[in-house]
Amino acid sequence: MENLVQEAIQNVNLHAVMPSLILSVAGMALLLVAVFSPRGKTAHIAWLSIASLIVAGIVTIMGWNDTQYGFAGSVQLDNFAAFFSMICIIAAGLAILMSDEYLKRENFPVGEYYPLILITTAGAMWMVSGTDLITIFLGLEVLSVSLYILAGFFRDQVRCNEAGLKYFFLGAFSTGFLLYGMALLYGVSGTTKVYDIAAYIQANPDTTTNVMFVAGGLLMLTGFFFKIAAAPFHMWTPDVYQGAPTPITAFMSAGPKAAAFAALIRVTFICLEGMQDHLTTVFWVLAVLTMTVGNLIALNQKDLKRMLAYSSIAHAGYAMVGLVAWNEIGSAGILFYMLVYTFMNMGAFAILILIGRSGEENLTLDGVTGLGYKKPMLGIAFSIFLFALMGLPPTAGFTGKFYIFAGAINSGYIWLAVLGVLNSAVSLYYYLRIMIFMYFKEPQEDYAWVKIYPATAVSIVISVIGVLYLGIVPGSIMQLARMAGF
Amino acid sequence: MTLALIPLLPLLGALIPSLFRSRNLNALSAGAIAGISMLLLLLQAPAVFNGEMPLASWSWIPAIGLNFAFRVSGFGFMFAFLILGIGLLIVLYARFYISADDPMGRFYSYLLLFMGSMLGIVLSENIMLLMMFWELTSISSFLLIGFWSYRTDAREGARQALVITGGGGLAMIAGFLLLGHIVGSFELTTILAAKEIIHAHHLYPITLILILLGAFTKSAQFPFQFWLPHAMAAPTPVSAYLHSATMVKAGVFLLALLFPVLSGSSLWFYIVTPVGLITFMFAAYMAMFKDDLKGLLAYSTVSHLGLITLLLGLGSPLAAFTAVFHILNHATFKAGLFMLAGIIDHETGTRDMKRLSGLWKYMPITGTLTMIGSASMAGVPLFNGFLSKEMFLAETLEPNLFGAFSWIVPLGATLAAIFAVAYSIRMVHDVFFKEPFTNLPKKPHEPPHGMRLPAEILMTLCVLVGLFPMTLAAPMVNMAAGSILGAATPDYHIAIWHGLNMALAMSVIALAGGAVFYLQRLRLFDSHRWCMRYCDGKATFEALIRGLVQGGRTLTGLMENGSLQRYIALLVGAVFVLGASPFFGSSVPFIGPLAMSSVDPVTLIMGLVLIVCTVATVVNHRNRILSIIMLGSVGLIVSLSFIRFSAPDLALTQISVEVVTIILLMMALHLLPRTTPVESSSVRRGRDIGLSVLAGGGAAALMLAVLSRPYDTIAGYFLENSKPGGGGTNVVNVILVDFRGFDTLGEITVLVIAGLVIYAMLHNFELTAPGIDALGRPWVQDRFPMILAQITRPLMPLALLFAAYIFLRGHNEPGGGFIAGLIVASVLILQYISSGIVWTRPRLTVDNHIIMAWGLVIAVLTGVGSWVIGYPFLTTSFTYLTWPLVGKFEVASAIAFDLGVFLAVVGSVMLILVKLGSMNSKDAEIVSASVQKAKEKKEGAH
Repeated sequence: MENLVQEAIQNVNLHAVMPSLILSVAGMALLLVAVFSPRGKTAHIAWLSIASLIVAGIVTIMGWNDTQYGFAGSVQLDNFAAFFSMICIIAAGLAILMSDEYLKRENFPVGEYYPLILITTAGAMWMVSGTDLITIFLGLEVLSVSLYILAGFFRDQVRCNEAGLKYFFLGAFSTGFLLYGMALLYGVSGTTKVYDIAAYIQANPDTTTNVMFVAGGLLMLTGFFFKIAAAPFHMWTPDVYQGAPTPITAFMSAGPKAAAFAALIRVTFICLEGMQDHLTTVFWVLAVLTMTVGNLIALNQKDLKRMLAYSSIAHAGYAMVGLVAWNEIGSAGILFYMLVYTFMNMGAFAILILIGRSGEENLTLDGVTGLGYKKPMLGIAFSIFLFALMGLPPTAGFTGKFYIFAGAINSGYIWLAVLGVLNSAVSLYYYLRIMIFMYFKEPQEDYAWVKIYPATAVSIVISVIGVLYLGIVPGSIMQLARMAGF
Repeated sequence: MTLALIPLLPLLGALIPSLFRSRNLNALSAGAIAGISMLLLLLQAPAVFNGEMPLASWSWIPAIGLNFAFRVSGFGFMFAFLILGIGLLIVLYARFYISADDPMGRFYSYLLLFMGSMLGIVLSENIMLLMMFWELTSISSFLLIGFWSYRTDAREGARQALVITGGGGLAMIAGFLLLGHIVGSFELTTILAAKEIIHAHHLYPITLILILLGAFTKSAQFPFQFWLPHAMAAPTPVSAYLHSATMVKAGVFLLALLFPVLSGSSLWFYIVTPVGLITFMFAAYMAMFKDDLKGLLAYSTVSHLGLITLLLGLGSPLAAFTAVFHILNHATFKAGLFMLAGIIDHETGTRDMKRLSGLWKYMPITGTLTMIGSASMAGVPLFNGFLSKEMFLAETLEPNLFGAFSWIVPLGATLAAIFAVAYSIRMVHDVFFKEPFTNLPKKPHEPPHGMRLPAEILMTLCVLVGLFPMTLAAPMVNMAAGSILGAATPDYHIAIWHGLNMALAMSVIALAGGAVFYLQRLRLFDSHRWCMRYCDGKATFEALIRGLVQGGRTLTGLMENGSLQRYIALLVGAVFVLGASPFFGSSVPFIGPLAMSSVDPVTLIMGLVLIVCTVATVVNHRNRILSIIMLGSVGLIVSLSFIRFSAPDLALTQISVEVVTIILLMMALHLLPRTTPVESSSVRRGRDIGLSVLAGGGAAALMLAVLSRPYDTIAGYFLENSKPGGGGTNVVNVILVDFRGFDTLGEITVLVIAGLVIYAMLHNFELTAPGIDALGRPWVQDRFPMILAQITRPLMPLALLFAAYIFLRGHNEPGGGFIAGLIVASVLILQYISSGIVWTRPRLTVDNHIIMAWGLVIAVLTGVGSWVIGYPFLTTSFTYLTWPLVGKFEVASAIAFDLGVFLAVVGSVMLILVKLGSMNSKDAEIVSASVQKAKEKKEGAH
């Protein structure tokens, strides 16, 4: 017993959790700072949060190609984890950049907001680097609980409360399934470490037909499907995305989703390889469902935030095509796509923040009528994001989608690629509709209330650069994704 | 490098024109950029005419096989020449056409952007690069068509064009991906050399269809022809450029480019030929009846594109040769005609042929030019259109794969040619002759010369090529066709006169028939009305979109109504389907090999009671008290089953937890309305019952499957090591405070935090409990019954003593800090319940926060203590002491830890319950006071 303890302590290796450690410590410290800051003053917390994100990012990048194992193999900070961590860091950074002025506008500048984002990000990092089901679960819960709070952050707005509560209820359900599944896997193999489970299955090949293993694997996956909002586990997304504070919506659609993808990939590709036949079917059915449901329902939405929510469901569907490929290119495709998606989607949400008014009354399609003329720069940026979401060159949306679909074709899933392309064609319709309203209609308003908040503008500029850079010269980043791929 | 600059220069320079304010500078800078590109292209001419193919390549995204590679093939050269040549003329034309109110700089920017992407398409060596330029033309044409932004028709036209061409482009991406997958490379040179591999591959059909989709949508081929006429809302320079010479030609360019590898199969013939033929005929027919000048030209363009497609579909080398020639001719006359239509529009204010007439007197030069263009369009001898049309008609007569029905092709071609003559005559006669005009918005006059110059140049070319084809066109056509066909290039002599043959006869029939048709047009106009209404694909397209939107709406209604119940129902249903999916049709038995153990009557009865109570809880959930009682029974049965299976410790824990939970529930429910209305329909309840039976059944089946298989447990380890390792015989307690001490520390921390959070949330939060029950009866007025109070007060010391006993024996016998904590909390809260807050509060003055905090501190200190003496955190040690009276007693450091647990439990449970109970306190006092008052009043009345 004591030996076990000693061993565990020796195996801690804090390097393996350094980025998330930095964020969680910074998060807790900033919580204290927030307590002692005068009400309404939150900018310094935002900037400190960004500083800690930058530090965590640098530490993550420095760990590239230098895999660290920690906590007796419960955590593994490899390229895969580092890449996904960077996505989460970028998403958190962009979300914070677009938050401060927004919170002031919405009359709710409360300091704990930023530490919560940091802690969510730390949770996401545990998910992406976890090689123990418990670590992954821990990360998932840290992430989820912080997001429940953030989703319902404006506690005097009914819609926001509804978002938080719905997310919490449905999230609790799905976590229950996830945990049940993990418990069953543990019951089969006697371990929660993903590599040990894989080894156990290798030693006992008949496990793959064991009811406990199969049902456990699938139940666990439902938890991840819920987090990536794959249909039919997506129901929470529109209501929550619409009700949550916009920067949080943007963040949720990128960072935590990427983290869930990471955990899904790691667990599936390592532990559940024995179920590959069945799982590829599951993945591709869900991928098609997700794309189709997302796009078809998005066609009908008048509310831009909700439309983007559905579009984000559809994009998760495209990314899932990479899962079907079940190979290195597939997972590299997901890595790359999630990065691309972070920029294009968060950029679009940042625009929504700028054109919104306090209380967010102005987020319908009509609300952007003629915006392209009254606010040309915003219009151009929005157009770039929309083109990227459509998947048109020279934006990153094209290269990302291309990479994913190429992987599917190379694995023989031609129909899946074709369906994906058809879905993109449907999506053209509703993305274009926004542009039509922006450019081809006489402006009804002068958009005098639209103020270009400097920090939000910075986040938009970063996103534009990201979308164009990854669209025009994606080679080097794609190479990194390939190195990180599973 | 110079090669790559040809397409890149307009792309990179696209911003430059919009930097200037002066309209002349706008046009000049755009012209200069296009001119430099043209020069660079001409630098390549010697090599290309020599039959070489200059290549330039840079690695770009190797991961996906995307190279930045350009080539100048003969065909590409011809196209690039057309794009730049006509582009330059358009730059000049637009300078005069675009009015001063419109942002000229932006127009030129879009134009250059488009020019660059178009050049990219024709000069790309890598098909993925080609793809990117292809989509860029979609985007930039979207911008150009929508240039007159506020017009509704411009808006719809632009969106329709982008949805269709963009969508087709996406299909083409898939096709290209497949092509690259088949060949193993995205380089055109490699692909073009791999005809056999491609044809033999099983993916050839789908590849072909996807690529054709891209080409057909771009070139407005049937059934996608409708977007082009609706894109005519664009400014005329745009139409002249995009819809005659460039963008719409991209589709046929692609067909011709991949002609060597994709054609030659029957599939190719059976798709491409009919599509070409139908488009050719149908669009020519529609063109006759368009009153809008540009609409007429648009349909004419579609028709001519159909002609080219038809030629490529026929598949013979000579047909391909003719197609190349016709691309060149059509671009020349059609660009000119669009410009002339623009001039007429510009100078008269309308393009409606019903209003235009008798312009000859006012615009003779424009009229002459229009006549030349129309003659060429109609295929009148001595103009360039005649040459390729004649060759085309000759080609249609060749036997083809339709076998016995081969005659359909020449018949259709002749018919279409008749329509073409008719609409060409109409364009000239209706506009320039007939009676004098009556109601034109402007008084017509000749345009400024700069505006007419481009059309003059193009029309002169039409005539010159028509007269001297061998000198002017043949070298270019031979070279272009040669680069496509390679060794198979026919040695063809383009000539005006081929002798009296069938093709000539068809031409004559077309000219004569067209004239007759035109004379009979008024009667025809009436008969084709239905066609105008129903044959416009726009309606179908819109219906399709409507259908999609409607489908989306239905789906939305089904899935997203904002109801959490529905979401959860969907979630549970989906999990069930997913979880059950691998077991359908699986050969592995679901139930494991272990036999079921026998059931004794007691267990069976307990199980049955459990089920009945659970069902009763659900059924009676509206009747709160009843359902709480049922829930309590469930908990009780569970405790009993723990005892039955020899786990007294668990049973004790369960019972105490049960008590506290029930108290908590009672307090919370007290604040809620007595009953909840029935909101769900019976259908929904039926669904929910079904779902819960499924989900519950699934969980039970899973449990059965798990338990009927042999498994190892970890119990053995703990049973063996509990005494020697932890010094206690109560394994549960040893696990809690020793083996899993760290977990427990975490748990009590969570408990403490939860207590604090609940306290914080309920603080300053007042709820009014209803003073009456569902039937309107007030609550008992005696809120604190004397008997209850009198019994509970002496109970307290007894319970405390019992708790101490439970606590102390915990390490070896059932008991421990957790249970003891719950017992103490229950008995304390009982005082509040039986005697009221007003009585209890002054007597229980210890702050629960402090108890709670001490609990945590003690637990942590115990852990730190073992650190201090050199062991890892929370290592326990124990020894035995012999106490007087008690006897031999074990003292383990774990007991201090357990004390921490005890205090934390007491503190947090009390904190929560007292807060919850006192939320209603003021209110309760007021209620009782008012009841008292009412009572007094009643008595007073007596």
